[in-house]
Amino acid sequence: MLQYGPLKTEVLLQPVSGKALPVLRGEVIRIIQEEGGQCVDFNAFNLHDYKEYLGVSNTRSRNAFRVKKGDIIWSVSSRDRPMFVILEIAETCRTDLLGGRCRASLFDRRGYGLHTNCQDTLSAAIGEYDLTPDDVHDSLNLWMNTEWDSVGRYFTLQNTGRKGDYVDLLATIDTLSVAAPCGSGDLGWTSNFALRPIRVQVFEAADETLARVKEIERQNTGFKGQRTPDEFKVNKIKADRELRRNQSYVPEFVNYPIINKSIRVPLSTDELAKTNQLVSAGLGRDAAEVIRIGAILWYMRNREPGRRSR
Amino acid sequence: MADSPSDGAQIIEVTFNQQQYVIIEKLKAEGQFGRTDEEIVRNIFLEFLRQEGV
Repeated sequence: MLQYGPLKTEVLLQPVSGKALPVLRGEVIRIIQEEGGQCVDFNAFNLHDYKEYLGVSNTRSRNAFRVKKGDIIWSVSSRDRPMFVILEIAETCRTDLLGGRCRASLFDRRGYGLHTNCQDTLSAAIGEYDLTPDDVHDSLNLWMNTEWDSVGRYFTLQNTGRKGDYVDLLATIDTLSVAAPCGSGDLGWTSNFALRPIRVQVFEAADETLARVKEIERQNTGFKGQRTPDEFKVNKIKADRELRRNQSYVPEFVNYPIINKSIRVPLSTDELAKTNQLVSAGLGRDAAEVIRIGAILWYMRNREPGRRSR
Repeated sequence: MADSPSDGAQIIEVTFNQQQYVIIEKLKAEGQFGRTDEEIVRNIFLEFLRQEGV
Protein backbone atom coordinates (compact mmCIF):
# COMPACT_ATOMS: atom_id res chain seq x y z
CA MET A 1 0.00 0.00 0.00
CA LEU A 2 1.29 3.45 -0.90
CA GLN A 3 2.21 5.88 1.86
CA TYR A 4 -0.29 8.77 1.82
CA GLY A 5 0.15 12.23 3.33
CA PRO A 6 -1.62 13.34 6.53
CA LEU A 7 -5.40 13.49 6.80
CA LYS A 8 -6.56 16.82 5.35
CA THR A 9 -10.34 16.64 5.49
CA GLU A 10 -12.90 14.32 7.01
CA VAL A 11 -16.67 14.50 6.70
CA LEU A 12 -19.45 12.20 7.80
CA LEU A 13 -22.25 12.34 5.25
CA GLN A 14 -25.59 11.60 6.82
CA PRO A 15 -28.29 10.18 4.57
CA VAL A 16 -29.04 11.66 2.20
CA SER A 17 -26.47 14.41 1.75
CA GLY A 18 -23.31 14.97 -0.26
CA LYS A 19 -20.22 17.13 -0.16
CA ALA A 20 -18.02 18.56 -2.90
CA LEU A 21 -14.40 18.44 -1.79
CA PRO A 22 -11.25 19.62 -3.57
CA VAL A 23 -8.96 16.62 -3.99
CA LEU A 24 -5.72 17.76 -5.54
CA ARG A 25 -3.20 15.94 -7.73
CA GLY A 26 -1.45 13.36 -5.60
CA GLU A 27 -4.11 13.41 -2.87
CA VAL A 28 -6.26 10.43 -1.99
CA ILE A 29 -9.99 10.43 -1.32
CA ARG A 30 -11.15 7.56 0.86
CA ILE A 31 -14.84 6.65 0.85
CA ILE A 32 -15.81 4.52 3.84
CA GLN A 33 -18.82 2.42 4.73
CA GLU A 34 -19.78 3.90 8.09
CA GLU A 35 -22.31 1.17 8.83
CA GLY A 36 -22.18 -1.03 5.73
CA GLY A 37 -24.63 -1.79 2.95
CA GLN A 38 -24.75 1.71 1.47
CA CYS A 39 -24.43 2.41 -2.25
CA VAL A 40 -22.32 5.51 -3.01
CA ASP A 41 -22.55 7.77 -6.05
CA PHE A 42 -19.38 9.57 -7.07
CA ASN A 43 -18.95 12.59 -9.39
CA ALA A 44 -15.79 14.56 -10.11
CA PHE A 45 -14.71 17.63 -12.06
CA ASN A 46 -11.42 19.20 -13.06
CA LEU A 47 -11.12 21.83 -10.32
CA HIS A 48 -9.83 24.40 -12.83
CA ASP A 49 -12.20 23.62 -15.72
CA TYR A 50 -15.54 22.09 -14.82
CA LYS A 51 -16.23 21.11 -18.42
CA GLU A 52 -13.76 18.30 -17.90
CA TYR A 53 -15.43 15.78 -15.66
CA LEU A 54 -15.41 12.09 -14.86
CA GLY A 55 -16.28 10.18 -18.02
CA VAL A 56 -18.30 7.11 -17.14
CA SER A 57 -18.57 5.77 -20.69
CA ASN A 58 -14.89 6.50 -21.34
CA THR A 59 -13.93 4.69 -18.15
CA ARG A 60 -16.24 1.82 -19.01
CA SER A 61 -14.91 1.38 -22.53
CA ARG A 62 -11.29 1.54 -21.38
CA ASN A 63 -11.76 -0.89 -18.49
CA ALA A 64 -14.97 -2.88 -18.13
CA PHE A 65 -18.54 -2.50 -16.93
CA ARG A 66 -16.97 -2.60 -13.48
CA VAL A 67 -13.71 -1.01 -12.40
CA LYS A 68 -11.30 -2.68 -9.99
CA LYS A 69 -8.08 -2.04 -8.11
CA GLY A 70 -5.45 -0.45 -10.35
CA ASP A 71 -7.92 0.78 -12.96
CA ILE A 72 -7.78 4.36 -14.14
CA ILE A 73 -10.86 6.57 -13.93
CA TRP A 74 -10.83 8.75 -17.06
CA SER A 75 -12.27 12.14 -17.82
CA VAL A 76 -14.77 12.64 -20.64
CA SER A 77 -13.71 11.75 -24.17
CA SER A 78 -13.22 15.39 -25.24
CA ARG A 79 -10.26 15.52 -22.80
CA ASP A 80 -9.57 11.82 -22.25
CA ARG A 81 -7.15 12.13 -19.35
CA PRO A 82 -6.65 10.04 -16.24
CA MET A 83 -8.47 11.66 -13.29
CA PHE A 84 -7.99 8.97 -10.65
CA VAL A 85 -6.56 5.56 -10.15
CA ILE A 86 -8.15 3.07 -7.78
CA LEU A 87 -5.46 2.39 -5.22
CA GLU A 88 -7.46 0.26 -2.84
CA ILE A 89 -10.92 -1.22 -2.99
CA ALA A 90 -12.69 -3.54 -0.57
CA GLU A 91 -13.47 -6.91 -2.06
CA THR A 92 -17.10 -6.32 -1.12
CA CYS A 93 -17.27 -3.20 -3.27
CA ARG A 94 -19.06 -4.01 -6.48
CA THR A 95 -18.58 -1.06 -8.83
CA ASP A 96 -21.05 -0.06 -11.53
CA LEU A 97 -20.63 2.06 -14.62
CA LEU A 98 -24.02 1.30 -16.14
CA GLY A 99 -26.65 2.67 -13.79
CA GLY A 100 -26.01 6.40 -14.17
CA ARG A 101 -27.75 7.97 -11.20
CA CYS A 102 -31.23 7.77 -9.72
CA ARG A 103 -33.60 10.74 -10.03
CA ALA A 104 -36.81 11.83 -8.38
CA SER A 105 -39.22 10.94 -11.15
CA LEU A 106 -38.29 7.25 -10.88
CA PHE A 107 -39.93 7.22 -7.48
CA ASP A 108 -42.79 9.58 -8.11
CA ARG A 109 -44.01 7.42 -10.99
CA ARG A 110 -44.07 4.52 -8.54
CA GLY A 111 -46.25 6.55 -6.18
CA TYR A 112 -43.68 7.63 -3.59
CA GLY A 113 -43.83 11.36 -4.28
CA LEU A 114 -40.63 13.37 -3.89
CA HIS A 115 -38.03 10.86 -2.79
CA THR A 116 -34.31 11.20 -2.12
CA ASN A 117 -32.23 10.63 -5.25
CA CYS A 118 -28.68 11.10 -6.45
CA GLN A 119 -29.41 13.66 -9.16
CA ASP A 120 -30.79 16.05 -6.56
CA THR A 121 -28.25 15.18 -3.85
CA LEU A 122 -25.32 15.77 -6.18
CA SER A 123 -26.93 18.97 -7.50
CA ALA A 124 -27.27 20.31 -3.98
CA ALA A 125 -23.66 19.47 -3.18
CA ILE A 126 -22.08 21.01 -6.27
CA GLY A 127 -24.17 24.16 -5.91
CA GLU A 128 -21.54 25.22 -3.38
CA TYR A 129 -19.27 25.75 -6.40
CA ASP A 130 -21.96 27.42 -8.54
CA LEU A 131 -22.51 24.32 -10.63
CA THR A 132 -26.06 23.57 -11.74
CA PRO A 133 -28.18 20.40 -11.85
CA ASP A 134 -27.23 20.14 -15.53
CA ASP A 135 -23.62 19.69 -14.46
CA VAL A 136 -24.30 16.51 -12.50
CA HIS A 137 -23.04 13.61 -14.57
CA ASP A 138 -23.50 9.85 -14.54
CA SER A 139 -21.95 8.40 -11.45
CA LEU A 140 -19.13 6.05 -10.77
CA ASN A 141 -21.22 3.87 -8.51
CA LEU A 142 -19.55 2.17 -5.56
CA TRP A 143 -21.06 -0.73 -3.65
CA MET A 144 -23.74 -1.04 -6.29
CA ASN A 145 -24.29 -4.73 -6.85
CA THR A 146 -25.81 -4.71 -10.28
CA GLU A 147 -26.09 -7.45 -12.83
CA TRP A 148 -27.45 -7.89 -16.30
CA ASP A 149 -28.77 -10.89 -18.13
CA SER A 150 -28.13 -12.28 -21.59
CA VAL A 151 -30.59 -9.87 -23.21
CA GLY A 152 -29.25 -6.84 -21.36
CA ARG A 153 -31.88 -6.50 -18.67
CA TYR A 154 -30.35 -4.68 -15.72
CA PHE A 155 -31.15 -5.34 -12.08
CA THR A 156 -29.76 -4.85 -8.57
CA LEU A 157 -28.79 -7.51 -6.07
CA GLN A 158 -28.22 -7.26 -2.32
CA ASN A 159 -25.60 -4.73 -1.26
CA THR A 160 -22.47 -6.49 -0.03
CA GLY A 161 -20.71 -3.57 1.70
CA ARG A 162 -19.56 -4.10 5.29
CA LYS A 163 -18.88 -1.56 8.03
CA GLY A 164 -15.40 -0.11 7.63
CA ASP A 165 -14.93 -1.14 4.00
CA TYR A 166 -13.37 1.58 1.91
CA VAL A 167 -12.26 2.68 -1.54
CA ASP A 168 -9.17 4.85 -2.10
CA LEU A 169 -8.98 6.99 -5.23
CA LEU A 170 -5.72 8.77 -6.04
CA ALA A 171 -6.33 12.02 -7.90
CA THR A 172 -4.07 12.46 -10.93
CA ILE A 173 -5.30 16.01 -11.59
CA ASP A 174 -6.76 18.66 -9.30
CA THR A 175 -10.40 17.68 -8.83
CA LEU A 176 -13.60 18.69 -7.16
CA SER A 177 -14.79 15.30 -5.93
CA VAL A 178 -18.33 14.64 -4.81
CA ALA A 179 -19.48 11.59 -2.91
CA ALA A 180 -23.05 10.95 -1.84
CA PRO A 181 -24.92 8.08 -0.24
CA CYS A 182 -27.38 6.92 -2.88
CA GLY A 183 -30.91 8.07 -2.15
CA SER A 184 -32.70 5.16 -3.74
CA GLY A 185 -31.51 2.47 -1.36
CA ASP A 186 -34.42 2.46 1.07
CA LEU A 187 -36.72 1.19 -1.66
CA GLY A 188 -34.58 -1.64 -3.00
CA TRP A 189 -31.53 -3.84 -2.69
CA THR A 190 -29.27 -0.99 -3.83
CA SER A 191 -28.65 -0.27 -0.13
CA ASN A 192 -30.64 -3.17 1.35
CA PHE A 193 -33.83 -1.16 1.97
CA ALA A 194 -32.13 1.45 4.16
CA LEU A 195 -30.31 4.77 3.97
CA ARG A 196 -27.05 4.93 5.89
CA PRO A 197 -24.19 7.41 6.36
CA ILE A 198 -20.82 7.26 4.67
CA ARG A 199 -17.52 8.79 5.76
CA VAL A 200 -15.18 10.62 3.40
CA GLN A 201 -11.56 11.41 4.11
CA VAL A 202 -8.99 13.23 2.01
CA PHE A 203 -5.28 12.59 2.52
CA GLU A 204 -2.62 15.02 1.40
CA ALA A 205 -0.15 14.14 -1.32
CA ALA A 206 3.05 12.34 -0.42
CA ASP A 207 6.18 11.38 -2.34
CA GLU A 208 4.82 7.92 -3.09
CA THR A 209 1.44 9.14 -4.33
CA LEU A 210 3.05 11.81 -6.50
CA ALA A 211 5.43 9.24 -7.94
CA ARG A 212 2.46 7.06 -8.86
CA VAL A 213 0.75 10.04 -10.51
CA LYS A 214 3.86 10.73 -12.58
CA GLU A 215 4.01 7.10 -13.65
CA ILE A 216 0.37 7.23 -14.75
CA GLU A 217 0.95 10.49 -16.60
CA ARG A 218 3.99 9.04 -18.36
CA GLN A 219 2.06 6.01 -19.55
CA ASN A 220 -1.28 7.64 -20.34
CA THR A 221 -0.84 11.18 -21.58
CA GLY A 222 0.62 12.84 -24.65
CA PHE A 223 -1.63 11.07 -27.14
CA LYS A 224 -3.53 12.72 -29.96
CA GLY A 225 -7.04 13.63 -28.88
CA GLN A 226 -6.16 14.36 -25.26
CA ARG A 227 -7.07 17.96 -25.94
CA THR A 228 -7.18 21.14 -23.93
CA PRO A 229 -9.74 23.86 -24.71
CA ASP A 230 -6.98 25.81 -26.49
CA GLU A 231 -7.11 23.13 -29.17
CA PHE A 232 -10.89 23.26 -29.63
CA LYS A 233 -12.19 24.90 -32.80
CA VAL A 234 -15.07 26.22 -30.69
CA ASN A 235 -13.75 26.79 -27.18
CA LYS A 236 -15.94 29.51 -25.72
CA ILE A 237 -18.51 28.20 -23.28
CA LYS A 238 -21.98 29.31 -24.31
CA ALA A 239 -23.42 31.79 -21.86
CA ASP A 240 -27.02 31.57 -23.01
CA ARG A 241 -29.38 28.63 -23.34
CA GLU A 242 -30.90 29.03 -26.80
CA LEU A 243 -29.17 27.21 -29.65
CA ARG A 244 -28.66 29.29 -32.79
CA ARG A 245 -26.89 28.30 -35.98
CA ASN A 246 -23.52 29.95 -36.64
CA GLN A 247 -23.79 30.82 -40.34
CA SER A 248 -20.04 31.19 -40.83
CA TYR A 249 -19.04 27.97 -39.12
CA VAL A 250 -17.19 25.40 -41.22
CA PRO A 251 -16.68 22.06 -39.51
CA GLU A 252 -13.28 20.37 -39.64
CA PHE A 253 -13.78 16.61 -39.47
CA VAL A 254 -10.82 14.38 -38.71
CA ASN A 255 -9.11 12.88 -41.78
CA TYR A 256 -11.97 13.95 -44.00
CA PRO A 257 -12.58 12.86 -46.67
CA ILE A 258 -11.61 9.22 -46.24
CA ILE A 259 -9.56 8.23 -49.27
CA ASN A 260 -8.94 4.64 -50.33
CA LYS A 261 -5.72 3.45 -51.89
CA SER A 262 -5.75 0.30 -54.00
CA ILE A 263 -2.96 -2.24 -53.56
CA ARG A 264 -2.58 -5.15 -56.00
CA VAL A 265 -1.78 -8.24 -53.95
CA PRO A 266 -0.58 -11.38 -55.78
CA LEU A 267 -1.72 -14.73 -54.39
CA SER A 268 -0.97 -18.25 -55.61
CA THR A 269 -3.83 -20.60 -56.36
CA ASP A 270 -3.31 -22.30 -53.00
CA GLU A 271 -3.18 -19.00 -51.12
CA LEU A 272 -6.33 -17.81 -52.81
CA ALA A 273 -8.08 -21.07 -51.92
CA LYS A 274 -7.17 -20.51 -48.25
CA THR A 275 -8.40 -16.94 -48.49
CA ASN A 276 -11.68 -18.12 -49.92
CA GLN A 277 -12.04 -20.54 -47.03
CA LEU A 278 -12.13 -17.50 -44.77
CA VAL A 279 -14.68 -15.84 -47.05
CA SER A 280 -16.86 -18.93 -46.63
CA ALA A 281 -16.32 -18.75 -42.86
CA GLY A 282 -17.66 -15.19 -42.87
CA LEU A 283 -14.50 -13.20 -42.11
CA GLY A 284 -15.19 -10.92 -45.07
CA ARG A 285 -17.46 -10.55 -48.07
CA ASP A 286 -14.77 -11.39 -50.62
CA ALA A 287 -11.06 -12.19 -50.90
CA ALA A 288 -10.07 -8.51 -50.95
CA GLU A 289 -11.92 -7.80 -47.74
CA VAL A 290 -10.49 -10.88 -46.05
CA ILE A 291 -6.96 -9.82 -47.01
CA ARG A 292 -7.49 -6.32 -45.60
CA ILE A 293 -9.07 -7.59 -42.39
CA GLY A 294 -6.45 -10.30 -41.97
CA ALA A 295 -3.57 -7.88 -42.52
CA ILE A 296 -4.96 -5.39 -40.01
CA LEU A 297 -5.73 -8.10 -37.44
CA TRP A 298 -2.19 -9.41 -37.80
CA TYR A 299 -0.80 -5.94 -37.19
CA MET A 300 -3.01 -5.35 -34.17
CA ARG A 301 -2.01 -8.65 -32.60
CA ASN A 302 1.68 -8.44 -33.36
CA ARG A 303 2.71 -4.83 -33.49
CA GLU A 304 0.27 -2.58 -31.63
CA PRO A 305 1.85 -1.23 -28.46
CA GLY A 306 0.10 -2.12 -25.22
CA ARG A 307 -2.92 -3.72 -26.81
CA ARG A 308 -4.92 -6.08 -24.66
CA SER A 309 -5.39 -9.50 -26.21
CA ARG A 310 -8.89 -10.00 -27.50
CA MET B 1 9.23 -13.66 -45.36
CA ALA B 2 7.20 -15.46 -48.01
CA ASP B 3 8.30 -15.44 -51.64
CA SER B 4 6.20 -14.15 -54.48
CA PRO B 5 3.76 -16.75 -55.73
CA SER B 6 5.07 -18.74 -58.64
CA ASP B 7 2.15 -20.91 -59.57
CA GLY B 8 -0.93 -19.41 -61.16
CA ALA B 9 -0.62 -16.06 -59.41
CA GLN B 10 -3.79 -14.02 -59.24
CA ILE B 11 -3.98 -10.37 -58.40
CA ILE B 12 -6.47 -9.24 -55.77
CA GLU B 13 -7.06 -5.51 -55.50
CA VAL B 14 -7.24 -4.60 -51.83
CA THR B 15 -8.14 -1.13 -50.64
CA PHE B 16 -6.78 0.58 -47.53
CA ASN B 17 -7.88 4.00 -46.44
CA GLN B 18 -5.37 6.59 -45.30
CA GLN B 19 -5.82 5.60 -41.67
CA GLN B 20 -5.29 1.91 -42.35
CA TYR B 21 -2.36 2.74 -44.62
CA VAL B 22 -0.43 3.95 -41.55
CA ILE B 23 0.11 0.26 -40.78
CA ILE B 24 1.78 -0.31 -44.13
CA GLU B 25 3.99 2.73 -43.70
CA LYS B 26 5.11 1.55 -40.28
CA LEU B 27 5.93 -1.92 -41.60
CA LYS B 28 7.71 -0.39 -44.57
CA ALA B 29 9.95 1.51 -42.16
CA GLU B 30 10.50 -1.69 -40.19
CA GLY B 31 11.62 -3.48 -43.35
CA GLN B 32 10.96 -7.04 -42.21
CA PHE B 33 8.02 -7.71 -44.52
CA GLY B 34 9.19 -6.10 -47.76
CA ARG B 35 9.66 -2.73 -49.34
CA THR B 36 6.57 -2.25 -51.45
CA ASP B 37 2.93 -1.99 -50.45
CA GLU B 38 2.19 -5.21 -52.31
CA GLU B 39 4.93 -7.18 -50.59
CA ILE B 40 3.97 -5.97 -47.14
CA VAL B 41 0.25 -6.67 -47.46
CA ARG B 42 0.86 -10.05 -49.01
CA ASN B 43 3.43 -11.11 -46.42
CA ILE B 44 1.56 -10.04 -43.31
CA PHE B 45 -1.63 -11.59 -44.68
CA LEU B 46 0.22 -14.88 -45.18
CA GLU B 47 1.51 -14.54 -41.60
CA PHE B 48 -2.08 -14.05 -40.52
CA LEU B 49 -3.14 -17.22 -42.36
CA ARG B 50 -0.30 -19.12 -40.71
CA GLN B 51 -1.21 -17.88 -37.25
CA GLU B 52 -4.84 -18.76 -37.86
CA GLY B 53 -3.81 -22.25 -38.91
CA VAL B 54 -5.43 -21.91 -42.33
